[in-house]
Amino acid sequence: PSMIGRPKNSPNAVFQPQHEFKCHIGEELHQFPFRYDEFKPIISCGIVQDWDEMIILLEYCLKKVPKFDMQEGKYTRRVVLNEPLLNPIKNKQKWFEILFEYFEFHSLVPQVQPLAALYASGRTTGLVLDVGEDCTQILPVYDGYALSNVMNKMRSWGGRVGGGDLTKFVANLKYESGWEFSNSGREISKKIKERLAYVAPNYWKEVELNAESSQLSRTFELPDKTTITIDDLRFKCGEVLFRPSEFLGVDYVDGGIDDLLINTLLKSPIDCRNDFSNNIVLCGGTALMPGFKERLELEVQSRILPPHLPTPKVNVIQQVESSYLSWIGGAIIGSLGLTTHYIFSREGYMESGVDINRPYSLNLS
Amino acid sequence: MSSIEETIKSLFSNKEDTKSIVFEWENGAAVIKTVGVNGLEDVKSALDSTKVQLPIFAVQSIDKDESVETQRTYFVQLPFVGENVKPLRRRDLGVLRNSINSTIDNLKAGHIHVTMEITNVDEIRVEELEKRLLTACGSHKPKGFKW
Repeated sequence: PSMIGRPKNSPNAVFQPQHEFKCHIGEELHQFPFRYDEFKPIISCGIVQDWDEMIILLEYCLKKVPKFDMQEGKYTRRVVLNEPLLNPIKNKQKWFEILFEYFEFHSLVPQVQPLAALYASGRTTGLVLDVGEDCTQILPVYDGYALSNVMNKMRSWGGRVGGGDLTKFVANLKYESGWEFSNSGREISKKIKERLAYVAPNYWKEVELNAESSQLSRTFELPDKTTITIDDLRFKCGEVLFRPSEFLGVDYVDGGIDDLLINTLLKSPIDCRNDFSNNIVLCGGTALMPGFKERLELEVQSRILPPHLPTPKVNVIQQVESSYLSWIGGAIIGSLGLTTHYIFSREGYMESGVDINRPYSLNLS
Repeated sequence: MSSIEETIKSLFSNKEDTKSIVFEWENGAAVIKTVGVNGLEDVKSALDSTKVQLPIFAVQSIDKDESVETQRTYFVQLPFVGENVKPLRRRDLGVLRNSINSTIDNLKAGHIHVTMEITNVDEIRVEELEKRLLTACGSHKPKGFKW
């Protein structure tokens, strides 16, 4: 994950003269969570919050790339920038600035994440639902052309719904029931979510079943070897995605994930709707939650009927590599021999700066 | 003229027996895997779940009145990415499609009327294809299709 932790001033903490070694990044944080003063997410809602930290993260990542020589590679390598939908212009400009001026890369191919994910699934037509850690976004693509007037993000006054909100929800609920975790609480809540949470096909039936018997209860072992019992939290966690206003206490403009999907389908041209409903591609780690695919199919099938959907057949595609689908798509795009239309060169940038009005990153056909 | 161009011409010419071609992408170039004479049936048997393939096949429209019988040929493309294809190999579909479609355009051999992206044989829905073909037929509304 794109997180940075600053170590506490303890004998176990590692201090080095260079600034990049004064912090620990990503998976390293999970090994010794109690050693850090703070966990700082660098990206929130798909938007970079702290550019200095982002540079540290990028340098760290580039050092991890096998056989990549920073001095030699930066002038010759092309970078694919997988950005979220509706990325603010200032954010885009800053990306260009950092990649061309600080890292001095040869060229840049900006691409939106859902389109890259669709490409990685081997399709050029489909409706991509990307349920990531920070935000949920949806993009219909027809024959390689994105319908930019229909694309959307799940919005609320407080933020956007993603896997991170579910983790917070689990942490809050456990706190209310008396379990107070220390610094490692976020990580424990995340593990509970990943191992035990699921999406129920019918929420109220699950509530009744849970009240009548304990067959839905599971135990979870904490790092100190004590065990806790998780029961209704398992299906409530998944339900947050479908009814966020109710569980998170914030007004969500577009309702739940199912509302977002259905609204996008209904906003699409009627001739394309069948192609979209037959190719709903799921992307992002949260989309791998058990029961998520089935619930989405059920919701769309029961709520969109002819004539709004000419053939009422819904096919949701969930792949094992859903979590990395955008990355795979980016890797594919990077390896293709693209025309200059898609590529922004460093030379051009240094000559005339970022031409932000230039249409890019929405078509791949 | 390469063998790919000749085979594409024979499919679109209506004069020869070729009713389907299945293309694959190997070592940076399009290759022909099979050429069939039975249209959709040959395509179904040629699909391999570990490969990226591009089948194109011909469909005859049936339009028989009391006095007149009209036969027209339509062409269907089924870009196929097998369920067991490795993630990074899926990129082959884009280049294979571009390569074959530009060859068809350059040869001015004909047009692909309907395209349906699939990942397994069960996703080939004849009813849906018929609907799309009828839309693609324009003012000519055949009473059925011979698959």
